[in-house]
Amino acid sequence: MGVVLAKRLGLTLLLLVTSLTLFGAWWGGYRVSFDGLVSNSYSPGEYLNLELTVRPFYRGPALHGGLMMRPSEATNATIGLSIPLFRWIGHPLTSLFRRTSAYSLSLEAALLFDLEIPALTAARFTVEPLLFDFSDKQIAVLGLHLLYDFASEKWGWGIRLFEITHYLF
Amino acid sequence: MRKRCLIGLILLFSLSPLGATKVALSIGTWNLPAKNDVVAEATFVQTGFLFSFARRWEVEAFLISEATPQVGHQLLVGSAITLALLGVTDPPPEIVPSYLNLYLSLGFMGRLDSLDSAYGPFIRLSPLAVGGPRFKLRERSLNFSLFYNIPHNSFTIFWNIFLLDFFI
Repeated sequence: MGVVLAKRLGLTLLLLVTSLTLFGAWWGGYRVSFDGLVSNSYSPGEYLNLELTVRPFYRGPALHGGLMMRPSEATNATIGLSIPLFRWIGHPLTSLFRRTSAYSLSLEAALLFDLEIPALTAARFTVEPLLFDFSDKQIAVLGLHLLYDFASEKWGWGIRLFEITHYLF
Repeated sequence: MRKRCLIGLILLFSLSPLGATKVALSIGTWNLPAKNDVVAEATFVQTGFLFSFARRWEVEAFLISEATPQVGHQLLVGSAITLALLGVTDPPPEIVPSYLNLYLSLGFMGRLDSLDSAYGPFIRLSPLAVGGPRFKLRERSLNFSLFYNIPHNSFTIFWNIFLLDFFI
């Protein structure tokens, strides 16, 4: 029974991934970002995020999942959804880039889980006002976080210093 | 009088390469080990500008500011002179530039908010730089520096995972 279920799940995933390759453009890849968080549950230092990202529709939302890490601290698992509000191709900063670029503003909501305890640690809401889309790559700087710490039941904030998303598929 | 004219002409000729300079704005991350005698634990942003005054040479001035938990609470300033090791950064138009390069920098930096606490020279290696003036954007990745803190007579390493240079 378990083997049959696993086979069906595997076949379903295979069909889903195949359909994405047929109809989606730049739908899957990885994301690296650096955060500074001001909250009771997090230290003042820099956090590294390593995530996988899936975006079934080119102008649609993207699902991110991965890890948030800092040396000598508990690693957090992250899962979130981001959506660009618009894509502006003829933006005023076009002359800064050789490649065709689109300026975008993105909103994201994510949950952070402490893997050591394990427990739901925080909810993170992010605004990225400086996001540039190069089709297979996105670069964003100086995003803003609003953080709700479930342990202390207090709001905090943070800055996404730098983010690069590289679509491989 | 003749000596002054001659010196003036020599100075003019030596400054003429400045006409071929490229200017860039840079932004990136800056970090160092949690236990250090330079800054208190925080996250930092590095911004600055640089200009290339010769085919392989650049001069850079930068400001490093605390981002969290208190924006601007800790500030450092610095400057550096940089040499491209793998090839010229901006060859003549008829030559295809190298997309990949390696940079070695020598500079001086110090705390701006607390002048006596940390200052000194540093040496920086940028082993993975892609792009350049012809491409309008350059990404310098995995930059590592060794800083000698003169007041504390100690060495500290710091790094920039990413530095983006926008050539204007």
